[in-house]
Amino acid sequence: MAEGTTEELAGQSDVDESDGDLAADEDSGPDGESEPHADSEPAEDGEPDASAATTVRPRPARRWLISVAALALVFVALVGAAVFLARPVLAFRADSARRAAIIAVATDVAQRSYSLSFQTFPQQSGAIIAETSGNYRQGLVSSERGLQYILTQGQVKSTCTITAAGIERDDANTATVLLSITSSVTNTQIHTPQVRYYRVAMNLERQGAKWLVESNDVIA
Amino acid sequence: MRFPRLTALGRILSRLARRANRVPPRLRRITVVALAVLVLAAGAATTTLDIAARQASALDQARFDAVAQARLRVAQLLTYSAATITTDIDRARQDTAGAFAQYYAPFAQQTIAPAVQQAGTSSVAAVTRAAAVSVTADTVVVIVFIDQKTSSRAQPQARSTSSTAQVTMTDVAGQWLISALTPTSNSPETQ
Repeated sequence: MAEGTTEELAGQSDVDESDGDLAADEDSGPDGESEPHADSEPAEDGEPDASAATTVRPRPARRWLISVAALALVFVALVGAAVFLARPVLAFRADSARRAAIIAVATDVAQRSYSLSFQTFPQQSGAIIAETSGNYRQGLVSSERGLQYILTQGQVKSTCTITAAGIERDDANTATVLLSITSSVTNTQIHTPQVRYYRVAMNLERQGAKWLVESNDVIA
Repeated sequence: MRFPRLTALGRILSRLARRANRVPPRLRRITVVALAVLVLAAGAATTTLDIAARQASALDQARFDAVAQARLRVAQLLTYSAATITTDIDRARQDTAGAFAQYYAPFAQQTIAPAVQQAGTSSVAAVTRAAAVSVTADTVVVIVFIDQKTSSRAQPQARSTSSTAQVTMTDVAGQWLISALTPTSNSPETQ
């Protein structure tokens, strides 16, 4: 019998669901003759049941249900595994983005701090102060005028190159960055640019979405 | 009578099967195909995430191991004495790889060793701080702050120098070795 016909018959016969459990399990169930149950027993007369050869074959509807259930199970398992695996990947990406943000702020502050000019210092100091926090910020604010005076008196100009910068340690809210800086300085005493090397450790802290420098130390 | 042999699960399945009989064959096929597509997509996503998770873990491990090895090997490379210079160079050669190893070994044997032995030089180096500059699965660039104390027969009192170098660490058969070492700064000597 064609599958569709069998199913139509099955659908038509499934009138009373409460009683239908038993009826559906009888060999003379709504599907009719073609698909005996998996739990069919041998014939009483001891002869091998002619239908035994086909007892292992589930009905189309059951086969479909089993397929759907199996696929759904595999899908759920895969989604679970994907969620499990996504967590470290997302954490790694967040760490990478955080480290990029930390390095960007640290190198920017270093670039501004070690490339000073008595002519542009007021603008530079404002930009540096905007990227700092805590005692370091307070120190910069309080010494801004004095530093401006020293730079102007000495006609100081310096340009720097950050030769290397790396994150020594970091977590969600704090970080330490090491920098190697080469600076070239001129002033009223030094007319030929003098090269100076600095190794610098900066501590940063996160305030909201921003990373700010809370210390900027030259390591002897 | 077979009814008692049915498990509760069997009864549920039977009920579901009878209800499923009402589902048109076309809808059944669509359902199976749609689920199969979802399973394939989820499988592909899981495989991709698995690869990405392994790569992320490998990079984190590379960062940690390479920085630790840079601290150790750079200090070894710059620590030597006139009495033990030959073994110091042999040991340091084990710390290097690639083009740097090819440069270092002959340079150390032909230039450093005679000079060290002649002057009676000894050097003790320590990497005081180190940080990863960039990380890939097999190459990590590290910035190191080096403190070095050097003495010689002419200058028996040790002189301290502080410097900075950029070190490229390369994974060679599970070992992170120095494949490049570039000094990036050198402070004036202090006693």
